[in-house]
Amino acid sequence: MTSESTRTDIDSEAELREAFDAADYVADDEIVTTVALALSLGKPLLVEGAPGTGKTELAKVIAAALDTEPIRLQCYEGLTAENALYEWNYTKQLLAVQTRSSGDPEATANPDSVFSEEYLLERPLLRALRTDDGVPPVLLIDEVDRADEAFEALLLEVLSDFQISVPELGTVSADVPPVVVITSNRTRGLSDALKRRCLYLYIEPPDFEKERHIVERKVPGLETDLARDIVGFVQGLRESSLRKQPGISETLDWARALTTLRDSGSDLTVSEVRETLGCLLKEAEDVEHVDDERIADILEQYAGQPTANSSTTDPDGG
Amino acid sequence: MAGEDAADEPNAGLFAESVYGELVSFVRALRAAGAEVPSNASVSAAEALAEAGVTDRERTRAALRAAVLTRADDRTLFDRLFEQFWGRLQDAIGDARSDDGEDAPDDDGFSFAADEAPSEAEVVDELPEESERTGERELSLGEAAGDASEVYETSQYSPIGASESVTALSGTGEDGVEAAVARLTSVLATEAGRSSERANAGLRPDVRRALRTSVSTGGVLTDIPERRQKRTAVRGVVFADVSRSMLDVLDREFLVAFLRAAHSAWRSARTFIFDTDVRDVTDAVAAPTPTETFEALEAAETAWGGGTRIGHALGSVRETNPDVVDRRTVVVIVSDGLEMGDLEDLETAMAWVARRSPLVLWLNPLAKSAEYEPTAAGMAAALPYVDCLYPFADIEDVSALARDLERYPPRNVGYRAGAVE
Repeated sequence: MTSESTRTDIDSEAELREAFDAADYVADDEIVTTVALALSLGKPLLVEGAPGTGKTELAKVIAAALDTEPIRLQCYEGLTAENALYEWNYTKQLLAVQTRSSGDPEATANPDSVFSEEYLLERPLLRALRTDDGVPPVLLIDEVDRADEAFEALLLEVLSDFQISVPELGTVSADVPPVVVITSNRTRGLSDALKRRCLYLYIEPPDFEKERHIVERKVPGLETDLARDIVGFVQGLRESSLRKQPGISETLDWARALTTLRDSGSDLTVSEVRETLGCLLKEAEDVEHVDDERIADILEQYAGQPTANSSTTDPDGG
Repeated sequence: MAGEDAADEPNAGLFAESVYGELVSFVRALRAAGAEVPSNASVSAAEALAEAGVTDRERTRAALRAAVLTRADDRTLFDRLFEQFWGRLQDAIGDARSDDGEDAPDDDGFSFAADEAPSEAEVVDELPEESERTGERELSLGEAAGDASEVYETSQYSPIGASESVTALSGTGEDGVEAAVARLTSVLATEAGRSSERANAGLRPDVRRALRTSVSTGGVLTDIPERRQKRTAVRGVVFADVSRSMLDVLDREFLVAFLRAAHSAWRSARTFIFDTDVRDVTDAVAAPTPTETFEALEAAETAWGGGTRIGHALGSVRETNPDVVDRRTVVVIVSDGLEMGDLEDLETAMAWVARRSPLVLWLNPLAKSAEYEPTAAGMAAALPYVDCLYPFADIEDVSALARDLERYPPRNVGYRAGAVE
C-alpha cells in the first residue's frame, strides 16, 4: 500500500478540528486524531458503526475540509467491476460498428476504435484516480459490508497501487492518490486483507451530551428544553429491544418535525410523540412495540434529564 | 501531523529498540488475549506512533487504536492493556533518554521530523521479537479478565427435567429429511451461486442473447438483455433447543438428521444446541455418518434435556461469536419457546438477531397442533422478531414449509405474528 506523507493542506489536528466545527460536525478527539493520522500516513480509513452515527457524513466533511471533490461509491450486493471501475458503452459501440459496416461515409470517416475514451463510461473508482488539478479527491466507499467478498478482492487490487488496468487503453494510475474513506455498518465481517490495509475508526452511538450537542447545532431554533427532552427520549428508546434502533439522523428528523409542528414552551406529550413516531421508528413491529404506555414510561424516566449511561451530567439540570 | 515539537528538532531521534520491543509486546498481548489484530499491526502501530508521538497519552491511544484494532468489540480489551503498555512505554523512553545522556533531544525523541516520512527516516531494520522486559512483567488482563468458559453457565436446576448425556443412536431415517431440506434450501437461498439466469435488471450483459435477438431486427440491437447470478446458496445458523420439554415431544434422531442435512445442503452452516448451556456442535454435525455425529456428541460429553434459556443461549453466542449472524445469514431457531430464563434477555437477543439476519425462522414442535397459540411467555416475547413460525415435528413439516415458502412470503406462512392478544 502506498504510504505518503501529508498530501493535503491540513497541517495539524487543530486545523482539522476547525474544519469539522465549520461543517457543524461534532467530532471527539479520537475521531480528529484518527482522521489526521489517515491523512498523514496516506492510508485508507475504515469507519465502522451503527447506522445513522455519521460515518458517511464524516467523509463529506473531510472532503469539505480539504476543499476537494467527494466521489461516492455506494456498495450493494452484487456490485461488480463494471459498476465500480468502468464499463464500455456497449450499445454505442454496437451501433457504431453497425453504422460503419453499413458504409455510412460519415461513420467511416471516423477511424477511432470503439474502445476509445469516447465509449468508456467512468465509474467512481476510475474517476477517483483521474484528477486534473493535482488535488486528491475523497473517495467514499459507502457500506462496503453490503458488497460481497469478490468486490473486496477487487478493492484490494485497486487500493494497493491506486491504478487500474484497462486492457484496451492501458494502465491508469493516480498522480495523487485519493483520500479513501470506507464505511461499514458491520452487517458482516470484512476480510482481514482489507482491514490490514486500513486505519480503523469505530464511531460509537453518542451519549446524551454529545447527541444533544449535535441536535442543537444541526437544528437551529430548537429550544434548549425541547432538545433535552428529544435526546433524552431517544436515548431511552434505544434501551428498548427494537428491530431497528433510531440513529442520529432519525433524532435530527424528529427534532425538525417537532420544531415545525408543535407550540413552543410546552412539555412533550405522549400524543405528540405517538403522532411523530414515524420519524424515529421504521419497522411496523417496532411501532407496535412502542405503545403509549411505553412512551409515557420513557418520557417520565428519560426526558428532561441525562440517561443512566451518559458520561457527563446535564448542565441544565432536571 | 508529527508531534508539534518535532519540527524544531532537525535530528529527531530513532525509535529506541526498547520502545519497539514494548510495542511488539503490546500487540502480541492483544493477539494472545483474543483481539483480532492483523499480521502487520506492529508495523502499523510503529508508523502511527511516529506520527502521533508518545507525550500525549490520549493521542497515542487513539493512534494505536486506529492502527491496531479491526473491530469495535476489542476496544475494551485494548484499553485495559493500553494502561499497562503506557506505563512500560514511559519507562522505556526514560531508559532510552538516560542512555543517550545529555544529548538526548528535549522532545519525546520518537517522532520523525514533520517533513520526513517514516519510511525515509532511519529506523531499525527489524522489529525485535519481544520486549526484553517480557520476563519481568507480562502484559496481561489480570484477575478481572475472567474465564471465557464462564460465559456458558451451567445450571443444575431444571424445572422440567435433568440433563442427560447424549448417547449414540442408530441415526437411521435420513433419506427423506435430506430431500426435504434440499427443497427448503432452494427457497431460503440468500447468496449467489455459480450459475446465472436471465434477469430484467441483472449485473452483466447477456451478449449471446443480445446477438440472437438482433437477428430478428436485421442485426440492429434494440436492447441489451442482462444476466445475474442465481441465488442458490444458503448461509445459515441453527439454534436447536434440546431441553427436556423439547426432547419429550421431538424425535431426537429426526432433529439430528435435520441438523446434518442442513449442514450438508447449505454453503455455510453453524449449529448450536442449547438447554441451560449452549454448545457449538458444528463439527459433530459435520461428521460423515449419523452414528459418528452421535458418537461425537457423546465424546464431547454433551448433555441435553435440561431447562430452557433461549435468551441466554442467543446472548452468549452474540458475545462470543457475533459474526455468526450477519446480513446474509438465515437464522433457524428450533424451540418450543418455553423460556425459563429472563424474558428481557430473550427480547434483547431476538432484537439483535432480527436486526442482523434477513430471515428468522422459528420451528416449533408444539405448533403442529391446530389449536396451538403462541401464548407461552417466551414464544410471545420472541414472536415480533420472527419472520415465520412453523410446525416442526417430522419430515412432512419440513416439506410443507418448503412448499409454502415457494408460494408465499415468509410473513404469510405458518402462524402469523399479530394474532397473539
